Amino acid sequence: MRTALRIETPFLSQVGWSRWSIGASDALTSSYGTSAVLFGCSSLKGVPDRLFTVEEETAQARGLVPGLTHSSVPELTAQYYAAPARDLRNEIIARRMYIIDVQYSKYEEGLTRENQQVNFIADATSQGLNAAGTISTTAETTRIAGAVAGLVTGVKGTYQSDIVIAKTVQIIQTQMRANRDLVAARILKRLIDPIDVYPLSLALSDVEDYYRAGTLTAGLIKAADSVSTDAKQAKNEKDNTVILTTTFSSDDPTKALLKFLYPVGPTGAINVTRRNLLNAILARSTFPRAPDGQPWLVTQILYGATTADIRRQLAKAAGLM
Amino acid sequence: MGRVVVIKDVPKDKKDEVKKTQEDGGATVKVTDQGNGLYTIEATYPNGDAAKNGD
Repeated sequence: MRTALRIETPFLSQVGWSRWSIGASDALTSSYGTSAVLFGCSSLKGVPDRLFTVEEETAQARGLVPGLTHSSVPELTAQYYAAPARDLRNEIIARRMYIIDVQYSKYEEGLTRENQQVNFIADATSQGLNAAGTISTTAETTRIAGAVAGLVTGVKGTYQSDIVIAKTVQIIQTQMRANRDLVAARILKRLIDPIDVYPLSLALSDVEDYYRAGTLTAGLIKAADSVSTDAKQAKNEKDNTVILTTTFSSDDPTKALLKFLYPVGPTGAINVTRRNLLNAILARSTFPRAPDGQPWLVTQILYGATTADIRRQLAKAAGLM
Repeated sequence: MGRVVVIKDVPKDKKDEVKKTQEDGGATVKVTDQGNGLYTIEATYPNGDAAKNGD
């Protein structure tokens, strides 16, 4: 008996597999390969589309090639070089930034949509297929459904592991936005500069930075930097902490030291002068050091079983015993 | 350099005394009930200078 399993999902149609038809004796067939899934995602490109190609940008930098008039920007650039003026420069820069913003919005929207769809649809498809396998009356169908479910889950896994941003895409987007805001602020501050201080070529260089700030690469670098900084800070805190773990112990030196430190009783205020005096004694070279190489403080050695010898030595040195 | 001093098995009747002495030394103190009538006192001293002048 030939068992047919037909799968039609929005996810599959979007990525190019509009329909899978699988028979017990058929191999898995599809219009496109797995690569269609992967290469159809704009986030794999890592960058938004450019306003101009690199070649076009180069041509503009050389002073405008006649006929390159598909945008008003080159015309403005020509006007600028004919009669340089700050307002004209600012208009060029603002327009370029605006178009980059439009491209970026489209790119960011795609990133968000892809992330959500891959997570939701792949999960839903996998669950649906597994459920179909469970209720099927034939072992063969169960086996095929399970295999396809695994493949769909695998596609999701490949997608996510390859682009490294399944669950962190929002963090990276936040970093990208922050990067763009920083560069935008830098450009806007300079728009008041005269053209001899901030010429168009320099401003265009900043616009290039603005474009790059909105790329996946810039977002990843910034996110990695943040994580690295946090890790270093955590390591420093860990390295700077000496942990002394001891069991409670209260002996005669403890009582003598407490009586000296708290002349009005243990519930009263500590005598700071006496505390500092005891700390000064502990700082003498004849006293053992803490694991960090620095002197102990009196309050740190009052109760520990492992510091009993130190406080006995201290109490004697202070004339309390 | 910061320090953390952990004193285990502090009897209930000594808990407040130990806590107070550590705070008077400049530490931030955390008290944990061990569940058997004993407590663990964790005293975090920010650094040597601050601890010496914890008042």
